[in-house]
Amino acid sequence: MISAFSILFASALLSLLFHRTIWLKPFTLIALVIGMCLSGTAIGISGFETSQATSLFEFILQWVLFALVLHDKNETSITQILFIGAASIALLQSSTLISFVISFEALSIISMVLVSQIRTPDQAEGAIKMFIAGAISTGILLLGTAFYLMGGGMLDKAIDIHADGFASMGIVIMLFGVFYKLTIVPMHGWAMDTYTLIRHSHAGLLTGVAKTVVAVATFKIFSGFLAVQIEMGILLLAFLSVLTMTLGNFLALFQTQISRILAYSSIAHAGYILLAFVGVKSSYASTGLLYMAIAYIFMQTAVFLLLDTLAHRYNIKSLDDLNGLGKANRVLAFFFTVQLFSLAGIPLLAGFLAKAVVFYAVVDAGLWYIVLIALLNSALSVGYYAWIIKHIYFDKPSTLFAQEQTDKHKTGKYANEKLSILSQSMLLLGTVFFGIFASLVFSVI
Amino acid sequence: MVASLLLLPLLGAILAYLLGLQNKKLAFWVAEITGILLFMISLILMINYTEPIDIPMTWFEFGAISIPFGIYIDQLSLVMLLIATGLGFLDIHFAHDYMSDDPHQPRYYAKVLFFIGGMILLVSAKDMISLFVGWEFMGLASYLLISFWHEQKAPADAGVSAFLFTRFGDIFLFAAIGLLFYFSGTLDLMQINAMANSGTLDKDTMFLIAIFIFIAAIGKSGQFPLFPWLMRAMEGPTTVSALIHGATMVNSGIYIVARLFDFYTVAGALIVVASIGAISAFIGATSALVQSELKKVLAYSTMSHLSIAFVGLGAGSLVAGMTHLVNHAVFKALLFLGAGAVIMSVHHVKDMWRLGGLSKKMLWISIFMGMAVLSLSGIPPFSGFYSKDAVIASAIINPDTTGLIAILVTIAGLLSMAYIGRLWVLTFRGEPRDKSLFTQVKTPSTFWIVLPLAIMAGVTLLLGFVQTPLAQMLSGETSVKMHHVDGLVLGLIFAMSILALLVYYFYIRRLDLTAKVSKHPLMKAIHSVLFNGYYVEYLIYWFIEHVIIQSIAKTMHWIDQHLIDASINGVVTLAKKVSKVFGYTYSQKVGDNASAMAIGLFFLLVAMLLGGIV
Repeated sequence: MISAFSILFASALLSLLFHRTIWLKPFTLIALVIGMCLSGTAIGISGFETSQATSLFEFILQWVLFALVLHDKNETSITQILFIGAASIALLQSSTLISFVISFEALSIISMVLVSQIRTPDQAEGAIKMFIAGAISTGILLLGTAFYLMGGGMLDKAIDIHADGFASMGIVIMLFGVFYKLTIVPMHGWAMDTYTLIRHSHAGLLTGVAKTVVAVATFKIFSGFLAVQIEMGILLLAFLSVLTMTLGNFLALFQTQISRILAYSSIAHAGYILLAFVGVKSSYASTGLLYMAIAYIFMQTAVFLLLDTLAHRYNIKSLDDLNGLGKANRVLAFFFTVQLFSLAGIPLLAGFLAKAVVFYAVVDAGLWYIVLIALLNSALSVGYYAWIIKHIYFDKPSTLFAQEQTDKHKTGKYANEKLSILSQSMLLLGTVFFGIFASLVFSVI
Repeated sequence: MVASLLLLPLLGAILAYLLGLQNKKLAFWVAEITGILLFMISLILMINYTEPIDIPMTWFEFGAISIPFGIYIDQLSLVMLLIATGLGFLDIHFAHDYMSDDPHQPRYYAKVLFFIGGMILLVSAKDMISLFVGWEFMGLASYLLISFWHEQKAPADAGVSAFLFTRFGDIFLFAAIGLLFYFSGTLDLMQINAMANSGTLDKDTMFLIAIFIFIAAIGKSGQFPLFPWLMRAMEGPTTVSALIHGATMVNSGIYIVARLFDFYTVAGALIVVASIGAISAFIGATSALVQSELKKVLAYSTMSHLSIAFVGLGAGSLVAGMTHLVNHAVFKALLFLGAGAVIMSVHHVKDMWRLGGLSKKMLWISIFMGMAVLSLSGIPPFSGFYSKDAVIASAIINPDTTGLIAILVTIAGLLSMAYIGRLWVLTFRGEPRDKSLFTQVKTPSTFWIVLPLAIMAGVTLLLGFVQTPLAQMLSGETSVKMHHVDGLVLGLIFAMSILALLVYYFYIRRLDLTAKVSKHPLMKAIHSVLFNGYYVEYLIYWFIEHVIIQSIAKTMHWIDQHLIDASINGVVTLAKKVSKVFGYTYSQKVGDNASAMAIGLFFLLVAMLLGGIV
């Protein structure tokens, strides 16, 4: 049976044939377009089911992967991107524990293959850290699974919502293992280094795509159990969520490297994502999580890809390097500004509605004080997002742009620029579209 | 059909800009085709009209909150649509020559289409939300268009001024939407009217909401005291002035009151509408008498005539107010485009005292503008006569407005003869006062310039004969009662002919006498008061400068500096400390990361043990 999964999986294998030819990118893009058309078709094996929410998210996922492939300059990670797409779709559709664990591990392993394209010692450090943390979290996940089985759970069934004793303990430990991918404190230590040290486009894929997919799939698998059994766990989850967002926001506030700000903001957003788990008793929680995932996949991928472009073109690293970008390159500055506004939660952009719905769900679940803290955090986060924009538009131009101007005439290495603008436009379209046309997500069951 | 009506302007705007970047001429043609298509669609909708087109849509629905975004097109909307698209199309057509030298044509046409699109959305709105979106689109577009020549200081300032004045009103509209949603639970315009009629709403609340909406209408329609932007907007291209003053923007304030007419009636807010209208009509008419710039006269006359329409509504006659609005839209667009043609031909001289005798050079334009002049002054059988007469009559008949309001609006109605006659006479008759300029006058193109004027002149004449069907359409009723007062028509025409004679005497026969009279100190003082629009703009700026900036803002600044800033600085210090504490969690060693995970797992197990899961 032909599904988006099989298309992506087959094209990932086939793409090896096209390496070092000009056909690689067109081939991949066509495969992704076919995949988009097929989103919503189930993988024809037991253990995988689709729903409206996963179909919508599959489409968006492939849309974003399309943008990522467009952006990719050296074309060495295209096969991995396709594999990640296939694993993500499997993860999104998985409905039993065994399919979830296997897809999750598949996604982790391919992520490691992705970051293992090492050119510099820094990249090696980032990759190794991710690898070790991933290994530990796999251990925790499997430990949880073992407990769950010991308590009478079944591997080839959906999570038993009435599990108790060892089984429920196993589920909590499993969740804890999954949190590694979501960078929830205290499983976040690796993320900081990995996101800042590896290539920015890879970081975009990890934090933008992989994280949201894991969040949506985890919610799908575990929310039934959590909604019934959450009495004790809810405070634990709320505590972790608040801790994660507070730590992320406070640490982002005084960073000078842009990649670090974005990495910490990614951790802070993991806290907002976890909030949807906290409000799981509300009927809006699933909408909230889906909205958060959709908004996040667009904005986070976009900012990291922008950072990639900026780092390649102008060698921008720190905030001061950004000074005057608004004058030097209005297009990039515009994309950056809109996505940052969305991250900060400015109305009419996806980030705002995502936060609004999640917060609403948590209030609906009766935890208004958690939302109060989240709101304060959200206000705090505007501090560093606005600070970046201040650097872009209101500070004296840095010398980096002047150098670039002269370089540009000598070499033609910016042929890729149009593709990268196209890719950014696709992501911007998502951010703006879901900031205005909310009913599409609300109507999804 | 309706969807294309709403989306076409936006599509056209984007297309005009993008294609215009390749070739400037393409921008015009895209705009022209979009304009004619929009007009055709409106016309087809009008011809096929059987019952209101009602498309309820929801923007988003969440829990108990449902935000609508619906479309509702009835006959009132259709008439407004025809005005916006028809006059808009002629305006675009006219701009072919008027803007031909401008290097930024793609930008111009994109903005114009965007502007028309805003008006279309506004008049097709079913609820306050879509209305507000259209309202704001127009506010933005008017700013962009007025400051089209933003490289110069005056137009840029004028754009900002227009934006701020209308924005001030918009805040109240937004507040009104919030109040409506809170108190009535609906934003649907028809339902609001129905609820008002059934008496389910509290009278005082309704009055407050009605006033809030009216403040927004004052801003958009340039009424007292928020009118100065209207005069400054003359800095934009004349085609833009025609668009703003004739086809679109200023009509929206009156439209919103007419749309919520039942609500206003029950709320008892019509008397406020009539009073503000009467004051504005008087200010506008008297100020228009002394302006020396061609376009300023027209700007003040717009203000005055919109106020007459407001008085019509305020006197309880929806039909009188709206027919006057429609008639005004046509002849005012004609006057502005005519003025544009004159200004273009005389190399952008706007001062009437340097013109004169131009009918020798541009006979047809003088004739068409003359027809608009007659319509505006209210001479039968031109359309302006019927509606102005109806407004004055209904103001006299209504016991609430029969006193001062009726007198003021009658004066304003009569004076329109004087100021517009003065404009026409000074421009087209007499001897050319600037001989060297006169020799350089260009002859405008027949197809691009004279044809649109001819069409509008034809329409303004034609409208005079279809006032009853028009009134029926606007009110949605089959039998319409137009108020009449015996002897009013005769009296008005008599007074107007005297005024016409006076204009003829002072501005053609005895210009020297006029010069002598204006030297008199008392006349000079009156002149300067009128010339500056009763110093309302100065008063507003004085108020802002001395009351808001000097006292309130300074106090706020002190509080901000000494209390808020101090606490913010404290927070920053605190945040730095917190950040530092959190910073200890960041370690570059893999072992630390791993042990954090392990410790986390340990705490988790402890928590579970304590919580009794195991």
